[in-house]
Amino acid sequence: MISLLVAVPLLAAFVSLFWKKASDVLFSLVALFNVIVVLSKWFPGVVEIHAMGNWKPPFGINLVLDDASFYAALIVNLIFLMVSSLPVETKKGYETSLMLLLGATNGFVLTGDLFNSFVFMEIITITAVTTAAKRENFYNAYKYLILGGIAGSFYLLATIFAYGATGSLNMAHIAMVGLSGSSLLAVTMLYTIGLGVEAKLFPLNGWVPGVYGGNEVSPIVLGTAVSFAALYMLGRLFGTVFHGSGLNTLYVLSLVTILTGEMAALRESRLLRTFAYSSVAQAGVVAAMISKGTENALNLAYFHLTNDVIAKFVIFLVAGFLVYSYRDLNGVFRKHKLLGISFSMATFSLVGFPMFAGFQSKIRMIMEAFSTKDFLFPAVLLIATAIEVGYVIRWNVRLWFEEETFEERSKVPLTIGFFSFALAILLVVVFLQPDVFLEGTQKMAKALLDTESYVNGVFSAVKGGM
Amino acid sequence: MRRFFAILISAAFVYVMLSFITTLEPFGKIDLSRRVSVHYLAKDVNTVDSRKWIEGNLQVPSERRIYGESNLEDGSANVVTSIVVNYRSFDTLGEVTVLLAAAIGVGTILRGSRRMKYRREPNFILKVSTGILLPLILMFGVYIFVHGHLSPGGGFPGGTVIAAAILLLYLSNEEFTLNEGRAKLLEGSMGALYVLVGLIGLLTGGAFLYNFLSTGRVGDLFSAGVVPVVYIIIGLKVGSELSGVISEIHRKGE
Amino acid sequence: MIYVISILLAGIGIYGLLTQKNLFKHLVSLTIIDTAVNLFIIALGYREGDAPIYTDRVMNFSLNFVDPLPQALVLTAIVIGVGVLALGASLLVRIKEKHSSLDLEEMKGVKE
Repeated sequence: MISLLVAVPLLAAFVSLFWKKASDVLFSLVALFNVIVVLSKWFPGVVEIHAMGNWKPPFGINLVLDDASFYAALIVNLIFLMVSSLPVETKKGYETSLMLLLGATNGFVLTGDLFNSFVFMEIITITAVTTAAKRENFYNAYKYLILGGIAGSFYLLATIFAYGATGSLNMAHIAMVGLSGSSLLAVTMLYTIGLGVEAKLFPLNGWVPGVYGGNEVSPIVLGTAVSFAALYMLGRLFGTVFHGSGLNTLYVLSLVTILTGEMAALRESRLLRTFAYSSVAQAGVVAAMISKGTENALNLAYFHLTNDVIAKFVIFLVAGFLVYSYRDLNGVFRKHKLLGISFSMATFSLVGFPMFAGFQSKIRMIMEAFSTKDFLFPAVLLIATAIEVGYVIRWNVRLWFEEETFEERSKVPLTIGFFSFALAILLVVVFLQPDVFLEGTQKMAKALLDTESYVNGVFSAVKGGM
Repeated sequence: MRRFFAILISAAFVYVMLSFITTLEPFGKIDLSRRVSVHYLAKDVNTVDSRKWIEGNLQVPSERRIYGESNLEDGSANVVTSIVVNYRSFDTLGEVTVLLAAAIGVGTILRGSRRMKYRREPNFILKVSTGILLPLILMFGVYIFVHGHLSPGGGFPGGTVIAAAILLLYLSNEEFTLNEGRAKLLEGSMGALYVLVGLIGLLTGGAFLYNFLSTGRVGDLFSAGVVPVVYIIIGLKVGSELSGVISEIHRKGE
Repeated sequence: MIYVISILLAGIGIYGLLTQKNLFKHLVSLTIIDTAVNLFIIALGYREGDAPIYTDRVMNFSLNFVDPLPQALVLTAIVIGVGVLALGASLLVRIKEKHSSLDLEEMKGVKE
């Protein structure tokens, strides 16, 4: 069944190549189908695999569904379902690429084989570059392509070193055999660079403001679903496969990422680019928590990432609509009160204001860091929060209270208004009842660190199961 | 100043990578029995116990005859083909998707309606020899992907040779344009056919991309189950895809 | 030592990416890095032996074969490199049309 999560979007993309009129309908149907298939396997609790072609691992490729990949697949497919319901002008002409992106992100999250994840990562790079080039955003898409190509080469080199050391490409095999000293160092360093471009680590994140700030559809899809997939893979590789070693470089790089990202956001004067830099900083926060390696740290990392993904979806949705409908953004929320309220709620959640989900995740992360006697991370996080308050207040004041120039009020499409408000309410609900997400991420963190049951689950299937 | 930093970073990269290659086995002296490939070569994946093999408890498979045997678990004489299309077929599906994504990207980014002209008359030798060479090149391309399971080659080089024939047509004739609608129809239907072959495997064998045709005798043209079928699909798909890319690059104007 | 040659090639590619001003040369440097990595992968599978194809001259299984798995990986990696190259070239055509130059210095002012 889980192979259908990858196969059906691919099939639909191939069909929409010559049946162009149906691409929009196909996209919505495929996203809905994927969400239904994912929901039918709610938190399996055990490790299920699907061996492609009935060749048992480690000789064949296998897809793995455990609590961690289930959670990631759920978030990714839900986001794509929301994207597929957006108005047609947002994604006209790009539905085929978005369907391929959906299939590839699902494959990237579910696979249990290193080279297979490289192939899916390259598909993600190519389709993301195509999506980023909308609205004549060619130069930034080109920068993203070059950096993404280099990242792919480093990822491939890391896979090959792992093959040279163990003789196989299967994640469970490598987890079971384990890499030793110097080859572990080689592989982890190369993977840090390879995933660092997609996970927006310093100094490989130069592409982010151009790509996220270039059109209205790329930050909604790339800044949420693809970022989640990349940070999930970071946790999977460093947690399950490498048993939590090689994390020091990641920790240092992520702290630098947080500070440089926030400071760049403060200096930025355009709306989409500001929150693109904020995405960079939040990715740094999540990467820093992943690099601590304990189950509670991983739990909080993905909790924070879920909150951030939801808040960013609202922010980019509203900002994307406004930037391309009005020339001057001063006081524009007085014309669109619902959008303004959702946007402000999402930005306050980003900062960590009490009443919104971000507060829960930030306070828990700081408490977790204190309990392990780490004072550097809370200091950086608090500085970053202070800077965030600065630009969030500045933007909210400008969008609500500044003197507006007269422009015709554009009609807000129904889905944009509905999604932004519904997700903003969700952020409040999560503040009041954080267990809604915490239960899920707790299971995810446990599955990511539980190498033994991962290996047992992969190798105990006698015949390729469903 | 900038050059100095660039040299520094490149030198640091080279130094670090050179220290990493000491972790690998020496060049030319790899131990094949520790790698998965030993079972791909011996075609006995279904009879190996994964856990015991990983822990190192199994012996290397004994020498036995493979060429000319019937009904082995995988029937192609070219072991690289059996890896690409049979054991790790999902990777090939991903690769086909990469080409599709790139072709769609090129089509979305480049827009144009008229054929771009080179504005000089093609050489007389080029025009005449294209007429002679074109059917030979096409036949060679088809030969490569039909015999993919018996000799080196397969769908990807075969499709590229076909696209090279189309490029030759573009170079030698200023008026030639490829019929894009038909090329896209061929490309899309071949891709959909590959996924359908996988889904048929799912329905008949219980796993996506299961090899559901009989494997025949190693070394025959009609052997290896679904492998030559997949390679023909891939060859036609890659050929029409790259021809489409060439024709889009030759467009100009809005 | 093929490993050393491929790493030097990759180093040249990285140097090219960091110093060249023309955008097209960045694409060429990326292709050099791709080629270097593919060379490295194939070199990883080499040993003294036959090509991994069963013919009427090599009929039996033995350990006297070159490793076939890296060759299969490189097949995929080359195709991926071609896809990236095609997409990059088409982006360059549109950049040239829009900004009428392919120079990195002139792009620095582009705030889009």
